[in-house]
Amino acid sequence: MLTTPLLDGYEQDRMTLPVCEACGTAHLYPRPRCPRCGGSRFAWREASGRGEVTSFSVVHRAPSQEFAGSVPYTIGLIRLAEGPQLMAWVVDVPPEDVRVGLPVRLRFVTLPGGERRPVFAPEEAAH
Amino acid sequence: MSGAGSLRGVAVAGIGESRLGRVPGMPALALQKEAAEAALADAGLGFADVDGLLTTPLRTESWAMPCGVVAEGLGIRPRYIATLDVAGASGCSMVLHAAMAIATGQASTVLCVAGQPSLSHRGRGATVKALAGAGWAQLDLEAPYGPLVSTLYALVAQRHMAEYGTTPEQLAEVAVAMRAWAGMNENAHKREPITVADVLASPMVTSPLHVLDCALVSDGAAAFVVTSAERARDLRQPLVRLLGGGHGFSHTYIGDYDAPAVTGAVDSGREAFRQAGVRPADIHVAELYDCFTITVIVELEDLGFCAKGEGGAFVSGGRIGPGGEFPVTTHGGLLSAGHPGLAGGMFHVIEAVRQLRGQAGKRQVPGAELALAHGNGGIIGLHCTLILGKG
Repeated sequence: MLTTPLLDGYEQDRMTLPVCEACGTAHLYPRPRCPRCGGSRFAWREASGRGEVTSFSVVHRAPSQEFAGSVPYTIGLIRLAEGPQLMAWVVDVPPEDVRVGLPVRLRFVTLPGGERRPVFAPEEAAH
Repeated sequence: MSGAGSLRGVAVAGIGESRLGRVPGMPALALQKEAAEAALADAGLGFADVDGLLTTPLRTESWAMPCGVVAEGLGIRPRYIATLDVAGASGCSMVLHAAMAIATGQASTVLCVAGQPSLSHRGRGATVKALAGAGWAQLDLEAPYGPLVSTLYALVAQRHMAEYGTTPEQLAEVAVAMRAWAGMNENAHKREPITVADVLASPMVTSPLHVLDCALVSDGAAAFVVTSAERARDLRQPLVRLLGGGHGFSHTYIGDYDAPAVTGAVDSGREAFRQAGVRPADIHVAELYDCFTITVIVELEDLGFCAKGEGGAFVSGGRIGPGGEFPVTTHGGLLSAGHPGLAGGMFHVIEAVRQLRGQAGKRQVPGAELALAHGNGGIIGLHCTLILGKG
């Protein structure tokens, strides 16, 4: 699977990004062709873990029983310092304090369904 | 100008709706039969005249080959047959694909029909939950975080608010306008008027979207008959021709999309306007896909009815509702008329045809001669725009 290196990294609390060997561009979500140049060889490099919130939504209605104990939770779009954007929870901050442009830093949690996945906390609260 | 060699040689000659809303005891095929019979009767045709069939996948049945199941259910053996799926853009896209089939001689009369009992099948709550796991969110990288489909659109709305200062009140204006139109549509699912305050006071589902910012879940089906303009002239209804159409694709998932407030409508609209040789200012009525209130605002911008970022101001003060300066989605849309799965976007096409014929009753836009119908699919990434004209 295209996502295997990324998901394998998540199991070890690491985020690695596919970086195109032809043009040096990192991209998400993993694709068979580089979205910038069409290259098809990638080196997987460790992400810096820094990013900012580009959008967010506070979910009040659980999509399934699994999430019933977690509402409200904040789902964000996070732009990584390396360029790519991904979806993740924004944690360690009250929903009313989340804003577009908030600098955040990577950490890992186990989600309600049991998946180990990246989440992002405000820079100052990250350590 | 005439003949089967161009889109302009193609017409939507018949339109039909099943009962829409809560329609208990009607399986998908029964709803589709009701809509198909209405569309054929409207055109003055029968099933024996149909030699092409387009339908969509369903979410309430496990049909591996929907077009075959529907053809057999309706007792037809079309020589052109396909199941079309560009998500919410399927309704408009059916017209364009039918037109291509007619223009290339693959069929002379294409019945487009779809619909399902979304509400009676398992109820609104269960349908919303099922949609959340249906792949609109990337299964490994997004779904584990628990987004609803409405969350994926909430991310568009929040981004639009941050970039352009759009407000929850402006989003609510869209829902209020749709409900006001639906109040004049006897087949609409929800018809009692609502106010901006009602929308803002309705339960928050996924900020900034409240329940009343979200589409309904409905039972129903829709159908239309597409044929050559030459043939349509001899049929029962005033002629409504296809003048232009186009598709647009920008992305699949919202999570890694780098412009979450810009839709693929930029491309579908540009192509449709180019083919029709008209501009946004020439359009008298726009039937825009309205799965969520934010969808209408970004479509108005990306189709060129206002500048990027001005969609919120554009819809304010009742401007897109009855009596407003620019009538939008005049049947009441997915927000109020009804949303029976992929068939939802077909009602926008039907309403455009009705307006151009002058058959829209109390909600008739005076002098409507040029209409735009638009379908949005996925998470603002898949689009189809049609421009239709009277006569």
